[in-house]
Amino acid sequence: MKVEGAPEPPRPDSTRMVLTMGAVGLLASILLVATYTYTAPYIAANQAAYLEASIQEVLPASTSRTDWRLVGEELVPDNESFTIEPRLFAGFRDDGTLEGVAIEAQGQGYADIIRLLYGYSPDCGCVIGLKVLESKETPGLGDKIGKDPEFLSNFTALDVRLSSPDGATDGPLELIKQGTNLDAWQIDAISGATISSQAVTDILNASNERLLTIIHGQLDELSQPPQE
Amino acid sequence: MSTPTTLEPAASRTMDEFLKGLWKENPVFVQVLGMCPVLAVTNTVMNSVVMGVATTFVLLMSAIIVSLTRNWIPKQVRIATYILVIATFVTMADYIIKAVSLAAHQSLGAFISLIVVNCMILGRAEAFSSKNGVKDSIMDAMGMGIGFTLAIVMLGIVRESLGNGTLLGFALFGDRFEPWVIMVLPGGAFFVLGFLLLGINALNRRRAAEAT
Repeated sequence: MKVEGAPEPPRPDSTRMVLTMGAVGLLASILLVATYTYTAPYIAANQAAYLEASIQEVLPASTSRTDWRLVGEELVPDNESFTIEPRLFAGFRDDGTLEGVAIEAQGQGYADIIRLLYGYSPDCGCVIGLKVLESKETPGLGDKIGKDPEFLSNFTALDVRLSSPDGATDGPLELIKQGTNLDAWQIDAISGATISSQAVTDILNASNERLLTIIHGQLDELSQPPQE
Repeated sequence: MSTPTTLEPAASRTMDEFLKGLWKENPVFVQVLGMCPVLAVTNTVMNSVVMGVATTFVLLMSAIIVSLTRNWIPKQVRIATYILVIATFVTMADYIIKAVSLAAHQSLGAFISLIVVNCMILGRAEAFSSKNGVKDSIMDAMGMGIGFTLAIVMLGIVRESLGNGTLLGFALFGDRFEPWVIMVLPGGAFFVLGFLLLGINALNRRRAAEAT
């Protein structure tokens, strides 16, 4: 379908184009592999330090810990073969007694997934600390779930006891707005961030419902201090 | 326009390539390029600084590569090549930020990877580095990068101090200050950018009027 007389446009040499792209791609991948190899240990160290600090925050009296994974309905000691199974950390005081279990939990927030770490003390049956690991909640409003000291003070002794013979509360956690007389299982919402506060409450409830019976069932194993 | 008729010496021309990015052709205030990070991550000064440094790094490295290879890259595949080069340096910056500070990486989130599509970087590669030598390209990239950084830090200072009552995390106004929350929300970024553009255009217009 050639128009008579029209000059043929210069045809680009496709071999040269492919070679150029290939060479640039090769160089790019070498650079990336080098950067990845060089930074990977630093990134791993940063992440480990961050996790360590977060566990310290939710289990303040702990000086040593053992790592566990939830596989099916059972807790097993952590090792390298696990990747995505939910993690739990048992924290021990200086004298080797179990202070509590730090539990990773996540759920839908107002914007994207909220990831939490919270400390659960089997002795008192309560949540003793909460830390937001990752959230994209609205700056200035929803992101207060990780910063507002008043909101976080809800989680220093929050009653989540299972229904037990002594007739303790067994209902789920409850979010209330601007409460003055909080019951031990109630969380005071952040004004202007009700959805984010509710999300935290829901994440805790879902995680507690799933895990607390398992934790109490394996409490003897979990209470074994790390051997060192 | 009154242009000087004498030829400028090479050194001052190179210096001009650097200085034009700071004010006369500032990527944010004059070219209004790369608005995604300008509006999205300037809610704190720290975020602005990290974003500015990362963008400058990518701009500088890609300018060097693009101007070095400008005679070898066939025209038909140049854009694809530039994007590949830029994406490589962005991914490197991403790893490096993660290795230096996990907290900084977390607060910038996806916006580090999004430097790839910052049109300022592709714009400089296409408009300048692909047509000029390495030295001029470096000066141009440094000027544009620093101009961009200064501009977003200005936004960061206004937004963090009004929206959060802090500057680099230190409280500014004491306990009785009620944060102006809109300033750290995306809407606040538009307001601050609008007022800064207004001020800078007014200043430029006055200077132009005085010069004539």
